[in-house]
Amino acid sequence: MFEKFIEVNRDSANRARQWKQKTGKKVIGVMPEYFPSEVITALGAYPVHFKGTQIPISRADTYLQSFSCTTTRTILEQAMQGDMDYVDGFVFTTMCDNQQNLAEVFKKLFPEKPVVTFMIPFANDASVRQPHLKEQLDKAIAGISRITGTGFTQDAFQTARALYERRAALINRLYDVRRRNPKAVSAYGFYSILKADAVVPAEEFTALLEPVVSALENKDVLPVEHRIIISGITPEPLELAKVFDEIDLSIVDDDLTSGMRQFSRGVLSGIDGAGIDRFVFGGSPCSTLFNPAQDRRAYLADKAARDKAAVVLWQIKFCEPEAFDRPDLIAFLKQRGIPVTSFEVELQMNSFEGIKTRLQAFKEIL
Amino acid sequence: MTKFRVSETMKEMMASYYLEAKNAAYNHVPVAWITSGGPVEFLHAMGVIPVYPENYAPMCSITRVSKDLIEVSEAAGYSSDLCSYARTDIGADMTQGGPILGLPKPDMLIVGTNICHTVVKWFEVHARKYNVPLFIIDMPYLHDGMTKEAINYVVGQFEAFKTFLATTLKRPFEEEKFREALFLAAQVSELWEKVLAMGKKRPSPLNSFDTFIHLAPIVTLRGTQRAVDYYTQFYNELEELTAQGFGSVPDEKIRLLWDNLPIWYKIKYLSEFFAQHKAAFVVSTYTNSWAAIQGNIDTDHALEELARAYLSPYINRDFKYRIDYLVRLIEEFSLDGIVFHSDRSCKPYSLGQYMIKEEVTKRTGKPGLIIEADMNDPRVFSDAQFETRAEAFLEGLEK
Repeated sequence: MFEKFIEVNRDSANRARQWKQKTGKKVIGVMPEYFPSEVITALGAYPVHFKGTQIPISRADTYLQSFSCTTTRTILEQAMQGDMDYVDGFVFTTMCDNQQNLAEVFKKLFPEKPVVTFMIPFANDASVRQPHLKEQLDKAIAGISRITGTGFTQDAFQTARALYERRAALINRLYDVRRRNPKAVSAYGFYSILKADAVVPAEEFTALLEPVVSALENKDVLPVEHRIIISGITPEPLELAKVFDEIDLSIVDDDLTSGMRQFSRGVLSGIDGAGIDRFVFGGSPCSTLFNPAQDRRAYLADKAARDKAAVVLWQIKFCEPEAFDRPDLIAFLKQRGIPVTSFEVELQMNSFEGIKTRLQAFKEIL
Repeated sequence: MTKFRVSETMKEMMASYYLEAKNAAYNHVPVAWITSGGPVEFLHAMGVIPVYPENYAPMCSITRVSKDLIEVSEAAGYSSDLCSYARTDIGADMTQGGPILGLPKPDMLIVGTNICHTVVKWFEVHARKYNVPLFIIDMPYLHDGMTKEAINYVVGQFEAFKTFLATTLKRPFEEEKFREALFLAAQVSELWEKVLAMGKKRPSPLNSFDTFIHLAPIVTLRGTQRAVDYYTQFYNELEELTAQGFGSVPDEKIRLLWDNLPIWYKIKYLSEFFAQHKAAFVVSTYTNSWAAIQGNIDTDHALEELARAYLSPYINRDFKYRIDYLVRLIEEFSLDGIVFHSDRSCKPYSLGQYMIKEEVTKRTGKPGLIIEADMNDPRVFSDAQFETRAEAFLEGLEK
């Protein structure tokens, strides 16, 4: 059922090259979250998101120290090995200091490929940050337009919005199926779908996903023993999801930046300040965003209590925003009586025995 | 490190500053914890004592307690991959440890993002613990150079900061005192720039290990008369020394630039090592950052000028700017090479250094040395590894 998505993930660069040829569109590489794909689509381009891979690192070490996270290092490795040759330009969002400096590395190493930056604001006050966000978005639109040669029109934007609303609705249905019937979909299958979403053009993706979701919705509901919510940035390396399936820890929901967080906020309503502000800050709390109106600890505790689930923090080594949140988050959840554990991974890992043992021990206490 | 007459003055001044801060609650004076690039002038206007975890962390390092404090925070769950200033500070806060037995409790937390995004997460930890307001002044990284949009964004936040202070302290914002603080801060930054420019002299009467230490007042007391007096005195002393032909490194032969934060726990060792090789660090990008914070307040657009100043530090600039700047410093300070401290704790400073080194060498012919270390975590530094690399680098320069 998930094979098509798994195939895309196995060979994403070649698939993207084929889609580029088929659509005849320019490709914009998005690094990695919080920029609206609907804008890129409206500007006549095909967005591909880069979130790091399991590629072994060799060339990237020439430019990045080993203390930067493997998301950053493997993205650079992909580019240096030619896996981004089909990309015509990049949009970098400044989710963290690693991404901020990576944008500068790209500017110097690949001067023929324009880099557009979209700064995520940290100002307390929405009335101050919204005009800034609007300026950032306008600047990004102008930059992408220069790459695609297509200007922004409301008609094209509304068409793109409708497309991404259909996509988000389908993914939300997928999340609903899993909440209701976690055994209907394996963790590996579920996150293979989301991973493929980063590469497959939105029209194709919805066409591929629709029958899958319908089939899952018709599956018999099976009993579940151990309910888990995972929280973090991105479920990589994806192979690790198989460990959850193997030891029968059922992921019922997540709070991942590249998962539920991006689908809980809706699509971009308009290119005004309030619209882009809602797009960036309207989802569930994220360690990379400063939003004093939200408390990630309470959000996650409430969600876990509602779903009668334990929490697993899936963290990437050297990810400062996540690592700073972790001690307080764990203490808060424990105080609320919610079982919680955490692990750190590097994207190039291919042995998960240590984490498997840890998760098995965690299962014992559930 | 050089023993200046003003060194004693600085010790007394810093002791008095920390004493005032420690007694703040007793004297009913509010305390703000603020980041090193935060706009302190607003706090001086409102009589708030600014306290700097980024000053206290190196104090803990120099007094050799940072390792123990780091281990306390790590035992509490803070990853060893996190910024070592943050780990030292969190450990000091948990144990009330370090040379002044912990910082006075904050009434508010103020963050400027012109140095990194780490400070936001770090101060969020304190905001949750102390349940006090956290105000962020977002000074975005200048990917596209200094833009009107970035300046306007920061000015908007300065206005909001005034309102925040007035609301939190329940009294109107003191515009008159603010202008006075702006005036004094600008004077201090100008004086600091003049002090640092003495490094152009040959031999240089001061070196970067000196300026790392004498940086403390401009970080903690910028915007006060005390700091103006101090740096006036320091500059005068340097002029006297220059007239006498004094060099901070005896028989100075090699002139270097230090890039990135100091390695605080090794400062004396490094100072002696390079002095033995007759190598003087006559300029550093780190200390220069405080000279960049110079607002021209004699205009009707003081806040715009202040925003421009606070957006300016080296670490907040794009790589093209950084490369051009280093090339310029090589010429202005007659440098023979650059030492890049690849600081495990400071990603915005460090990530990209390999590329910057390569391009600066290509443009100037001046070599660079990368030292892999950490600013506050002594467990990361290897004497043997450092000496092998540094000796080979210096021998190459001697030839």
